[in-house]
Amino acid sequence: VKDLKQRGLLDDTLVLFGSEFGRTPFAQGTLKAGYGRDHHGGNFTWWMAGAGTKAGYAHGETDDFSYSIVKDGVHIHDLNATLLYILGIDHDRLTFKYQGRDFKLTDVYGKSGQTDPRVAQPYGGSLQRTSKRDRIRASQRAGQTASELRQAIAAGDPPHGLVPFIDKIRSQAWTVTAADVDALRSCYNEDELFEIILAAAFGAADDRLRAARRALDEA
Amino acid sequence: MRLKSVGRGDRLSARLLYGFVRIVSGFRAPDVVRTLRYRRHLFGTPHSAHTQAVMRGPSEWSVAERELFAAFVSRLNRCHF
Repeated sequence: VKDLKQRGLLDDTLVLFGSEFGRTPFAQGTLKAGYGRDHHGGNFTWWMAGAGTKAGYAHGETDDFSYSIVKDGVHIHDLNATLLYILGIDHDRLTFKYQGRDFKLTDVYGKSGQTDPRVAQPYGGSLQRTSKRDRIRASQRAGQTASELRQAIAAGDPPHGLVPFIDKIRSQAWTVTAADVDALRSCYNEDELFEIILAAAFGAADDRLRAARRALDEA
Repeated sequence: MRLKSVGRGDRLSARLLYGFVRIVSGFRAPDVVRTLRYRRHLFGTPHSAHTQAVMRGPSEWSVAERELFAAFVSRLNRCHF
C-alpha cells in the first residue's frame, strides 16, 4: 500500500484483503495433532485500501468473542455491490447470461455503500461544471499539504519525523513549545504547519468524541 | 502566537480588525479569533458552523449543559478559551 501511495497509484487502485469465510474463535474437536478451527460464516473481516475508500475507518463490530455481529454488519452481497460501485459499475445494470436468463453478480440483493457518507465516492462530482466563484472558493479551501498526510496525522499515524510533535498535540497540547514548532520549519512552511497542527488537533478531538460515545453506549 | 502568519492575519480586513480591536478595547485580539480568521475558508468558517451546530443546534442536552461540557473539556486541555 505504501508503495502504491508513493507512486501516486493508490487513488485508482483498490486493494482488498479478505477471504470467503471466517473461522470460529474456538478450536474444533480435541486438542490433538492437526486440530484447527471450523468454518464460521457468522462474521469475518475484510479490509480495503485506496480507490477513494476512507482510511482509518472501521465499519461494523462483532462481540468480544468475534462470534456474532453486534453492529452494522455488511452482507456479502452489499460488499460486492460496494466493490462494483468503487469500480464505477452499477451492480443493478451489470448482468451476465447463465442457463437462459440474465443474472446479476449481486443476485436480487446488494446495496452499495454509496448512500453512506462514510464510504468515499471516488467518481462523484468531478464531471460537474463549476462556476469561477466556486473554483476560487475551492482553491481557498484546498490544503497545501497532501490530504493523505493530513488524514494520516488525524488518524494518529503521521510520518516518522512528525511523530513526537503530533503525539504531543494529541496527548498534552499545552506542553508544545515554540522550539517544537521551530524544529519543523526546515521541512514545512507556516501554512503547512497550520494544516498539520489542525489535522492533529482534529484527530485528537475525534478520538475523544468516539471514546465518549463508546462510554455512553456502554453506560 | 507561534505561527507568525496566523498572528498577523492573511487579509487586510483581518489586520484592520485586529488594529480596531486594539484601539477600541486596548487588548490584543485573542489568538482564538486569529486562528479562526486565518485561511478561514479552509478552517474557521466550517469549524465555526460546526461549533454553532454542536453548541446551539438541536440536541438532547441544554445549552447550559453543553457549555459546562465545553468548559470541562477546556479545563482538561488546560485551555482558557
